[in-house]
Amino acid sequence: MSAAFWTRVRRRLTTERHLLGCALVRLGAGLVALSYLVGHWSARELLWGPGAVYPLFLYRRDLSLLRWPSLFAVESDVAFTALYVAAIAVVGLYTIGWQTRWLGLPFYVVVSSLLARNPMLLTGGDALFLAELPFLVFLDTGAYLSVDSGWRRPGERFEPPSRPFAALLHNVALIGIAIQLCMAYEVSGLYKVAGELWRNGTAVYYALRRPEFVLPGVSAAIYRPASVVTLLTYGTVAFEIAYPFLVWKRGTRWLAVLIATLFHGAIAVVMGLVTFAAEMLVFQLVLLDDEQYRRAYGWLVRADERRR
Amino acid sequence: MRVQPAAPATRREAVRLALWWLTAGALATGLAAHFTLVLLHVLPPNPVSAAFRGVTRAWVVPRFAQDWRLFAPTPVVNDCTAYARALYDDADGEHVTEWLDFSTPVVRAVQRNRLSPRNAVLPMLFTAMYDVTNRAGPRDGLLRQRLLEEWSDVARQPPSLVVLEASGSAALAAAHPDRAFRHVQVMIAIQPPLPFAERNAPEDERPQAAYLVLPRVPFQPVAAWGAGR
Repeated sequence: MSAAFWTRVRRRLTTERHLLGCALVRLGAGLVALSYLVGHWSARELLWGPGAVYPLFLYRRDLSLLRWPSLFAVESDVAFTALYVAAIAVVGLYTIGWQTRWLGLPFYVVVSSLLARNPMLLTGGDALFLAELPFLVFLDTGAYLSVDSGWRRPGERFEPPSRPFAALLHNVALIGIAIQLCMAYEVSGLYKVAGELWRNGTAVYYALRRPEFVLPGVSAAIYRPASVVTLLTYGTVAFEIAYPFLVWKRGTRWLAVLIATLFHGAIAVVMGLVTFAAEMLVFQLVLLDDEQYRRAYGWLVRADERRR
Repeated sequence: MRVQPAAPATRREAVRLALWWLTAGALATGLAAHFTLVLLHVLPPNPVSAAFRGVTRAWVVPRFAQDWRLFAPTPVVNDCTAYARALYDDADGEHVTEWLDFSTPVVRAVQRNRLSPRNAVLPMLFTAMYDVTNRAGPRDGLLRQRLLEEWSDVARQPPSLVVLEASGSAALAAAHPDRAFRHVQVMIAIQPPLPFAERNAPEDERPQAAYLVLPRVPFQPVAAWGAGR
């Protein structure tokens, strides 16, 4: 390959890219973590405390197997609550974008510690969250919509300072997040293709009938018409298999994000998997570049002006 | 437009450039190695993944542990309901409470409010029930008896059963705040759904539920819903 090719590669990798998407990921990931910590404040003892439904003796018994230590595995109620409050502070500060370069690692430690304390609570969304968080540590997530940036708005232009090594880490982390997303959807699609109920077009019926996923008055209207069930079953498989190909081309990335938003939004409302849906959607936000976000922001501003 | 390669101006810049390319090469190699191991770990069973299982597991678990069999290859089709009862003593001797359904109230709470704090507990309860029923499996007679005897010792129980017993204990303690319980016992009702071809039939035509009654174990104090202990 020519020297010009490598120069182009270096130029791309020494400019921090997708800074608006990274800021949105910070906000989204922070809000998901806060929904765990603040949203479950009243149930914190039951879920992660010394008297949790996943008892300390079980955590200690399986620690050698799971090899996943947790800061929250303490015997004192007072120490647990103090750690819990400290965790809320760390997550809160990271979410508003204060010292994001330094708080990325504590944010990762706090969130993974919380989830490690009760592995029975983990969902597929949490698994994706945990797999993506190490990459988040290396991203520049504070360039927009943060205390660090003086709450720079999406419409404002920003040229990041020249930091070749930091930019390299940032861009490699971006690629890592995208590959992890693609892997999750593609492998899920491969498993579905191998399943009899997915092949015969009825899997969605059985999933929607499970009591934990029923939305009274709505679910039956979806799973009774055979055409809707078949369309949703095959549509799910088609979307998951196609996802990496949609993400590969810049021109179709918005379509991948749009379908994912509709897909997970419907799962959140109809099946009640709200946190799962949020976790699956948050990291999609890095896929769009700053120009695409600026165009969308400009369109929203103009629509708002017309409305007035 | 042709991009001309920029030549480094000084020796210091040349060293920095070389260091940058070394770092880029190392990161690219690391990223490729990481995702190769993760991919081999999460792919459906195949000969290559089987050959490298030890290496992939050592790298992926626990930090990058993931499983993308979301509702696949076959979604769980049975409905499960969790019940618990407790043994207690009073002046008249030993008593047993009625079976208390402790999964349906969580389902109802989440159906009423998709943002309910029970939203986290719901998948936990159902994952635990499916895991316990899978482990108990379709075995009968002596094999089932042996497994239940093993599970009468909490230390030898799978995490899913411990969590169900603890969740049942929390529900029983909330339902009977004035009683001091000695033992707790969990039961899981497993009911197959109506097949797709009979999806419009009334609910009462569903197949009968089967019951998995688990061994009684010492009652464990668990934190209550809604407040610190």
